[in-house]
Amino acid sequence: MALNFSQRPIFSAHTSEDNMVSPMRIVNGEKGGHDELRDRFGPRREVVDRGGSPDSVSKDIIDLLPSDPFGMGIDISTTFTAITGWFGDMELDYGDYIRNTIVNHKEDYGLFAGFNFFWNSAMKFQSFPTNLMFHDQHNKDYNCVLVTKSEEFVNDFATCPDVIGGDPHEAFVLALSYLGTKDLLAVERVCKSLCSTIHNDSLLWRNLYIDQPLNERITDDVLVQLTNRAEGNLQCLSLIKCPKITDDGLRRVLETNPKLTKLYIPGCTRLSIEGILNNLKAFNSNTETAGIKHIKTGGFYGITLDHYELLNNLLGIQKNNYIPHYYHRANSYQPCDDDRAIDVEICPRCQNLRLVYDCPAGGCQPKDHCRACIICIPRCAECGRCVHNSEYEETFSLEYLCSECLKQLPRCQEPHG
Amino acid sequence: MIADEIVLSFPNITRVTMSKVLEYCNIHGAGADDETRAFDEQFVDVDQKTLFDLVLAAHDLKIKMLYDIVGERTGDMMKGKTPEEIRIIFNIGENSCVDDHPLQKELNPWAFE
Repeated sequence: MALNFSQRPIFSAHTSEDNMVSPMRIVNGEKGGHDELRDRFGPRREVVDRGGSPDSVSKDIIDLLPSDPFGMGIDISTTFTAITGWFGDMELDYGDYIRNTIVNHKEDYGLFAGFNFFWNSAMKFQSFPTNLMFHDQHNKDYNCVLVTKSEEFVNDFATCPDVIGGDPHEAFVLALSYLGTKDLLAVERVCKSLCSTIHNDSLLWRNLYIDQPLNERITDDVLVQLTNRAEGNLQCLSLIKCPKITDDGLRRVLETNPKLTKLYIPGCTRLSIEGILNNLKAFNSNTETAGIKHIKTGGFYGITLDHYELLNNLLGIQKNNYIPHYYHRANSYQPCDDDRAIDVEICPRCQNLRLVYDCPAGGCQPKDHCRACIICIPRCAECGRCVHNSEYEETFSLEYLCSECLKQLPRCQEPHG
Repeated sequence: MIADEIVLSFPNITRVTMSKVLEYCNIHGAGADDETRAFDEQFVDVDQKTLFDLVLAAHDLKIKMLYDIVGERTGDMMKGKTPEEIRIIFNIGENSCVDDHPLQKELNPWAFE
């Protein structure tokens, strides 16, 4: 973002002329430039671009551009150089030719913070993009003009049919953080620069989520390779039904990722509860690691009360505010959807360690009345309400649907009576 | 009182993009609701060039909400596509760097069996 302003108001000689709209720039008087301009305006000059010769003036800008001539302590109440009717005239005469390119490289967006304030307060919006009127806390009226990039110089690769293929657009790279693992691996194959970007950007690999279809193919070696891309910054690892991952593979991952705090491993059939506990013991007792704080097992086969107590100790369970947890056919494997430390608990009815669900049905509101594992209280796969007190049907896929959810099914899916 | 004028310059953002950004900020100024969601859907339904310009603008201006929706939309354009399809859609050359990486096509074969 760049700012252009002058401590002095614009010379009247400029504005009086047929309301000509010109971008303003402050240049360092010592550097080169047009002599005649220097003569006219004095040692501290403002160069007015009349849009006649873009090329010659552009050389001036590059030559004369100061890095930070005024020690840019920007005060929004300072009088700024006025440019009026800029955009309207630019469109007609100069094709949005921009001259102002003083660049403030500081990360301090103090001015923009104030700018944000203006969006929140009452703002009169005149026909954009000419002028914006707004009021600040000092009850002054400001006329704000936005100076933007010339569209002549936009690198418009989309309209160059002769270009067979270029580098990926910068925006493309920024969007990579919205991709899942499978898509990242596909994009890696697109070209070498993307391959290098994806491989080396550890931020993209901080949360690794492996689901269909990669889950069935991923092995211990591949898992270690992928987790290494985070360069020790892996925070959340979700392995959803990955049958090839073993306790040893998990151990290797934990050894090289000290910042891991969330581990989700539902349906990983080769992981044993003893293996998990051993790995957690080693990991959480290591003083260099913060330790795993959240683990989702999806209901571990063979987990006993002793295992559960040990898990509680290792994770340092604290009593948090209770959040109801409802059943849905897909929710066992939801990653990071709540802050519970362990997903299994003791079922109030059968006392086994399973996933326990609350009931969203209106008639079951007393909290503990309808809380149990899915085996003790069957539930609708869609809405999670208990089905033993109301009408329900067992569908072809052997799940229960309450009468309300049944009505909302498309007809072809209704089970035959 | 004389109106003071402030000039804010954004050399990396075009006028068209800036007007869209401001439109977004105005709609979302009061918070999210159904109307804003409907607006968002229509807002991101633009051509690739405009979308890319919006991503860069939102990134530069640090407007997280806008960045999220346009970034996600851009990501959606890539999801589920093969490398060849991505090259075509985004006009990316296969060998966009000097060195020819012979094994590029064979990266992570396990993921594409």
